[in-house]
Amino acid sequence: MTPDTGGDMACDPELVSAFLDGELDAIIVGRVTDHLLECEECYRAMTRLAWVRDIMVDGRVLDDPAGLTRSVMAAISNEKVEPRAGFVRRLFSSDKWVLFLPLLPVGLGG
Amino acid sequence: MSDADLILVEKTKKGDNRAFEILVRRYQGRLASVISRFVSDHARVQDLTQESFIKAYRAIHSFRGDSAFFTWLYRIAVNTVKNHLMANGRHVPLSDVELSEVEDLAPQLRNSDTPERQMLRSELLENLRKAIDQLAPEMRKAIHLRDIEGLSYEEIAAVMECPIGTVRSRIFRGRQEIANQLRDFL
Repeated sequence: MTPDTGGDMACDPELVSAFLDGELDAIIVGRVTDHLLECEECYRAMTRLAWVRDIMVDGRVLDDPAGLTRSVMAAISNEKVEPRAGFVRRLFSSDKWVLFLPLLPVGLGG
Repeated sequence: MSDADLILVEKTKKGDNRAFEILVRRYQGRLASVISRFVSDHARVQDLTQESFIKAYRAIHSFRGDSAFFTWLYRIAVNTVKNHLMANGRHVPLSDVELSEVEDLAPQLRNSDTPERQMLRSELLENLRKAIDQLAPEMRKAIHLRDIEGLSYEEIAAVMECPIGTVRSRIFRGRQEIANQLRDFL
């Protein structure tokens, strides 16, 4: 393994298990997370291990965990749900903020 | 807060939906478990879990990392459940319910499955018990301390008098063996 990014990290399901438990060392957490985002095999390992962890902790609640994940992500995609930025972020991410510029001297001077 | 959660939240904020998918997969079982303590209908539990995650996604920019991601998610789920119960004419004082208190709130709801679901659940739990029994004692103990007692890896290492790396390995191998034993249910 090489430091920094997870792109060239080898698959290690043991680290995936520790990831689920929130028990990764700070030095590797970024690489493991990046790797999970890219590696389908490790993502599948994560779903399998998460299933075991969930039934160990609580018995089984979900019949089809993978189906639930798909439903959530499909709803987000199909309904064009987008994360809503806060007011200030929305304001400055658009061109509307320039409309407030003339008010600035008044506000500062008052 | 878990560094991994923080990384995944930041990536989600930047538009990486795969990052949010991993957060969903990581916490959906735990969140559904919380919701099932308030709502008896199994299909409704799934719906409310989904709704909670969608609300979390919409509000992700408001998450600042002041609390653990799951704590934030939990609050969203409690409000979602509260709205659902109120819409159905039921009142449950959920506003001040803390995670630690949820266990005692409505344990009787967990026995409201249909006979078919109860049978499947019994079968699964019986097979789970057998799979756990077949584990090497040190794996069984590590998994028990982690998943049942809720100890951290560091605490387990202290209890079992072994390095943290060994704890990590035992927990992983134990889960792997259980997954293999229960593959028909997966």
